[in-house]
Amino acid sequence: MVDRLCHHLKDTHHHHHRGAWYSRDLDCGDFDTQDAAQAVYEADRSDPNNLDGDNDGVACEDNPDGYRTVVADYDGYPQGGVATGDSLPGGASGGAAALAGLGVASLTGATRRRDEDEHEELV
Amino acid sequence: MTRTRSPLLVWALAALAAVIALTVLMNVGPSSARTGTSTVSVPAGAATEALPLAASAPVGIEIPAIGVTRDSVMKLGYNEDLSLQVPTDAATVGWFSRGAAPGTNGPAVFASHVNYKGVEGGFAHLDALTAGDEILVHRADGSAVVFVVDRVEQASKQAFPTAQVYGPTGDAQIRLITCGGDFDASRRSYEDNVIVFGHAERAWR
Repeated sequence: MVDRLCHHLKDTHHHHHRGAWYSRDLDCGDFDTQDAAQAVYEADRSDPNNLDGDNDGVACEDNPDGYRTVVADYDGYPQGGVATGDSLPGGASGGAAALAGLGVASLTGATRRRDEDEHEELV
Repeated sequence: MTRTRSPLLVWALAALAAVIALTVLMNVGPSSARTGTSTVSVPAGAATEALPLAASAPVGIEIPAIGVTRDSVMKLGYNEDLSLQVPTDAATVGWFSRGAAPGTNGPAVFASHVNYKGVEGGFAHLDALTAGDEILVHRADGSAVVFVVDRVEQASKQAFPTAQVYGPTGDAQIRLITCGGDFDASRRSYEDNVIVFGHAERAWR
């Protein structure tokens, strides 16, 4: 199963208020690659941008593989429905006991990521 | 002089605090037994701004009627199949950054999961919103926009109302999207989308 670890989208087109964003903070979504984020982190290990939210010395390990393939040359309406749900309340679905375990496992992940979000994006 | 005035002041402050506490309490959480709509007050000292506003990205969103408060908003674009990207965790609220900014003319589109990997999503209770409920969006330029819910629709993903959701509008509007309807366990997907339509009512900074 694909678990997209990313939680930031690379900003590819916000030229009209880019200054407003960039003057605030850098976050993982602003980098094309983990290497680029790591380089900024290495340049200042005090990590003013909080690129290493879990303090393990690795910046933006969640940097978006999934969103790196974002479609940048399309300006139409998004197509079709919106995939804003993959499970039922309670974490169980159709007798999938494994999914319940997955729900618990991802709960910690989601919480961690949310914490990182708050650190990185609180502006 | 102060002896006669300060008790009054204390009582006035206490009354004010009680009203505020009551308002907050009434607005917290999914309000199943709610009567009337949930509204947002203009903070004291804020200067009213005329709509529409110049573009500025959302940096926070509050929906008191369903207990949603976020001090960050993820930017969403397109998936490879040109569908709308969605947040990669349950709680995060995302904004379609290739569309209208909140407060500008056009629909500002926000999306969050109803449930993701067994975790309750940011828009889990979106379908509890009713016409008249208010949504507060904080923007990067320090301004804030209040949107009023016009209606809540549930539509099949197979017949998603694309033009109504993303199409141009003559005023500043908002869309909140999550999933709803039957859950297809084999595809781990809901059949429908729940879509809240609203319009900007006022702004300040």
